[in-house]
Amino acid sequence: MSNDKDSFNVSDLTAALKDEDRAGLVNALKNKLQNLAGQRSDVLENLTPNVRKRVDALRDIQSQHDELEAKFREERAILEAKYQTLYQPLYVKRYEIVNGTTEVELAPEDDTKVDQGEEKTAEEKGVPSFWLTALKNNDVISEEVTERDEGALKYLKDIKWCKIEEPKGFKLEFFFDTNPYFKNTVLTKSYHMIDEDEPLLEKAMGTEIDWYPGKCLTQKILKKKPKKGSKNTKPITKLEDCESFFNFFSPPEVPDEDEDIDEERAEDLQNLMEQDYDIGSTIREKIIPRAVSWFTGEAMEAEDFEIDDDEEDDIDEDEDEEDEEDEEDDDDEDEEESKTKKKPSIGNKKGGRSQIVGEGKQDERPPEC
Amino acid sequence: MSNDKDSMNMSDLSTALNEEDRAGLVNALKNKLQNLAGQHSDVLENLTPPVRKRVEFLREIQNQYDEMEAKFFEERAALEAKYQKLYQPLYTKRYEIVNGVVEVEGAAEEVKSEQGEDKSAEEKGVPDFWLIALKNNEITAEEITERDEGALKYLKDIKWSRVEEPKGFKLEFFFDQNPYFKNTVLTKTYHMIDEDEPILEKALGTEIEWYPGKCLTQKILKKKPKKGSKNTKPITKTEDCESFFNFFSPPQVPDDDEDLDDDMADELQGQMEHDYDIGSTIKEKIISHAVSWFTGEAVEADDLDIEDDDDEIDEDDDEEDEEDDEDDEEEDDEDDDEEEEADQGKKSKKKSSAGHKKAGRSQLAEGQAGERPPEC
Repeated sequence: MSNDKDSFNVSDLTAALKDEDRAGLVNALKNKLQNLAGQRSDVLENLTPNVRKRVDALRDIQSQHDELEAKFREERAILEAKYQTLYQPLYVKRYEIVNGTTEVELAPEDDTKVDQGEEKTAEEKGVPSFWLTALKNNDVISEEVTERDEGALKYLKDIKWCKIEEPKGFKLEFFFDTNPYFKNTVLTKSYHMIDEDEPLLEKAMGTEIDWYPGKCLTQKILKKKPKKGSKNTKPITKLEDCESFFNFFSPPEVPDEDEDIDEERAEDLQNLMEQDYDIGSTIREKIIPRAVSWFTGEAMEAEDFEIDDDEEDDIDEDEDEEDEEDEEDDDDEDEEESKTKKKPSIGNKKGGRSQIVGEGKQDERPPEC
Repeated sequence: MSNDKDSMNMSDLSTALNEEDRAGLVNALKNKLQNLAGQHSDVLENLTPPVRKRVEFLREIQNQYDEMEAKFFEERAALEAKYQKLYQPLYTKRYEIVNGVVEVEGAAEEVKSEQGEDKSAEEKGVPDFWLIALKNNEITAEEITERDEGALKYLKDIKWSRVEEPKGFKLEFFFDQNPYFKNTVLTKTYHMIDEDEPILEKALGTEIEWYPGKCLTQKILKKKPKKGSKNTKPITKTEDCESFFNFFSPPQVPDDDEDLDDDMADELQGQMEHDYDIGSTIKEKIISHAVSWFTGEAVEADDLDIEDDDDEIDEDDDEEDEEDDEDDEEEDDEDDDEEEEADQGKKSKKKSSAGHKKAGRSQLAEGQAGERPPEC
């Protein structure tokens, strides 16, 4: 049994790509396939006839397993789709309340009776800055949102996700009100996956943003005054890339075949892609299903201290602030011990995250605006 | 809206732990909670009454969502359990064939036609089945040293099952009686923090009862005493070394009263993730597709994204025919490569991405290289 690894490695790929020769790449792939076929053949050929028979029987069993597994995936996909359908009416209701399309029943009564004089209050629609606040309360997302971005993100009125079948993956849609920053009403981010069961990213794509003149948030304009005495009297204008949430819609891409990649650059690219996917997954799996919990900050607490969702949701909050404080004190005392135990593990998790954020990002990101 | 981050950070934790003062830790946690509570309160307090009402309504909608989601988790778990149950008879059959408990029909017939080969008839099951399967997977192969192979020959089954309290899963490695250790089952258990996310809280492994001088996770170094020295006995030293069996002694989160700095936390985090990666690979790939890893088919599928449908190819007994089949396959591949540039481009595109994935993995391996004990 040979111990050498047959997996495709970066240097093979680099060598093939450096040649800028597709034939070279094809040859590399052919050789790899032949090696693999050879290995496969070796295993079977080295077996005695009896053992060979048994392996064939095992392969029949494997085929049966694979058929069952395919049915499982089918049923699971159906189940997931069923629940996504059940969630939709709730998302629609949320949209209507957040954007003032529908008014909740109690509000008019309160307004009319208690605050008859405040017309300005009555004019305020929905829940202002709902999605902006929700995004800023999440660790992963808030790192992407700069102060300049906030003005534009106030116009964000909904975020949706759905599965994509061909190629397999998912799509995020960000719906914006008409705003002074860009013309698009929907910004989209799509992720194409390699494998059905594993989060291996093949490609990510984003909407091209139609910025209005002078409003681009992913670039900043630098002006330099010309030196005194210089013939040129006009200020020098320079565009520079800068950090922005909206860079999310220009994801890192795998270069074309004829472009050279060295190992170091490949690693950088890998990290950027994983980071980008982490942001997309966070929005899809956390922000969208629990937007209001992120808006109020409840989700943040739950995330940091592993408070059960049942606990938070079950508490009916009185308007009386004094009572609320008492309840919170009770929570503190009860959970003291469990927090202490859980903290070390979470700490390590954060340690890992710090590494990715602090070191990787600092080197690669453009300067702060 | 304040922009400061309220999450617990490492320096807070380090400060608390440095003092070796639990009261200090408790105070740090209390302060953190108060800050969070404050922020929570701030958001709601800053809202006008009508907006506040709307947020309350949104929270009710959230409750409805959470109830539905709980039902979904329940149904999904039931579905997974249903299929695991359906897989079990297939795993049992596999065990019986691999270990020679049951003979396949054709093989018995072979005994008739080859009556002279006693040795062949005596060979049971499929020797080295699990060892070869593990060695053909990139991730598990990196853990196996040459010294480990002798022990892993005795591995006769691997199983996984869910653990409910606390939530997670367990791997069981069943060994025949062997000259290395007394245990017949080695177990690795993972406890997860969250139901839906693979965030690891803790990992536990069986303590291996090695026979004297057989421990594969340590090696014995002997030094001859210098000539003329009074001491005439050789100096014996035990040193940790790489071994697959280190898998059963996973990295542990230190107790509260132990000091933990940032570097050490990062290192520990990396080790825990690596360990979980090994466990997940065994659970999700090796156990469910063991024979495909044994023959090497899974290696091909993993690397080049060949469809699993290839499993459906019926192979003839006649070796000559088999060679013809393989030649045909190669020819077909060549035709595809030559005739369809679109496929070629697609394959290249996938390759690039896969390459980057491996680059990332290599990086982890490099980290490991720095941390691991020397090769035996």
